[in-house]
Amino acid sequence: MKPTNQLGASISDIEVFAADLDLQQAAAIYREHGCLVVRSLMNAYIDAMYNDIMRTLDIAISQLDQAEKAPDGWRTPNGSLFIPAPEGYERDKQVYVVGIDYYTSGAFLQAALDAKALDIVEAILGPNIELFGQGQSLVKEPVGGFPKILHQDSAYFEHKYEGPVAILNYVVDTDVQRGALHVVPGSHRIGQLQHIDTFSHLGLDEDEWPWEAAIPVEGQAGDAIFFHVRTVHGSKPNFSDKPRQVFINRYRRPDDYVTIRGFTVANRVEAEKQAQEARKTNAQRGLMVRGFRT
Amino acid sequence: MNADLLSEQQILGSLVLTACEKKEEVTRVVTEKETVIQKETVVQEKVVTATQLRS
Repeated sequence: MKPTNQLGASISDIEVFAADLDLQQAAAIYREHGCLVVRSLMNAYIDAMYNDIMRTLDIAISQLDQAEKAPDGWRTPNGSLFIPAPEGYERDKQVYVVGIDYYTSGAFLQAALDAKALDIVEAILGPNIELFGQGQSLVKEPVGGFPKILHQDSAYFEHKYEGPVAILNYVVDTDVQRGALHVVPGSHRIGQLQHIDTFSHLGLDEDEWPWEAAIPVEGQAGDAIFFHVRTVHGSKPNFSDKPRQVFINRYRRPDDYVTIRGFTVANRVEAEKQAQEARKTNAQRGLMVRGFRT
Repeated sequence: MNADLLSEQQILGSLVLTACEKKEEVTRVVTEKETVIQKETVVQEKVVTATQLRS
């Protein structure tokens, strides 16, 4: 039986195949459901991304004795973020964010510039597109690697206009046991939801948004999951015996910008008070990957 | 004479302060989501006073 979420969509409603891509159909799925799975979109980059992510992680692990304490974990000199590991793990820290980005990995930047991916983003956002952020890679270490409970990214970075389109890409074959992404199709249309402080930072109340509200997107290395900044999503722990690597590229209209940023309920409330004063500054300009900035 | 000496000390103090004013780059990385937007380097103006320098 295919998993179906509360809003009635199933995985077949949100998936297309890179080899047989209809851009308008893909954009229509994204607009309706706030998410889109494009099978095999990133196949060309997977080997290189796997190598670069694991190389970065190896360096990070070798730097753990130099890691600086951060409020929620430790940061190594190469920019990787670690959090406490579950009991019984081989280390007392497990990686959370791997310090790889467009400045350290050519494969990462090439993946962000993939023509077919940008064609889809253009069909969604229009002809002018900038990068938001510098790329991000998350690794769930095996045997209990961190969960991220259901949430909207807009809780962390609400935007003035459409907001960023995120593309989360599987670097390895990923099933539910290994920490597959869960999405709630259609949730991008219900507005900004009230988040609460959780062990995985801002998240939705699990009584109101249980995992059963979402559908798991299992997939193979190279599958890409597009999702709207307001689409509810998250992932369970990695209970497999192998790590789960993903990388994320984000894109937005060049005139778009963050109006509210927060990481706790308290600092988001404070940020909401300043939202009207938010403006696009030069520091917020991303590299143009399509079109022109006027 | 004392007035001249005081003036020289004031000038010297001013030069030390000027030399010690600097911009310090502080990159904050706290949470997974914060890494997305905080890759923008936060430049903080930090004035190091002569007192801080001595301590």
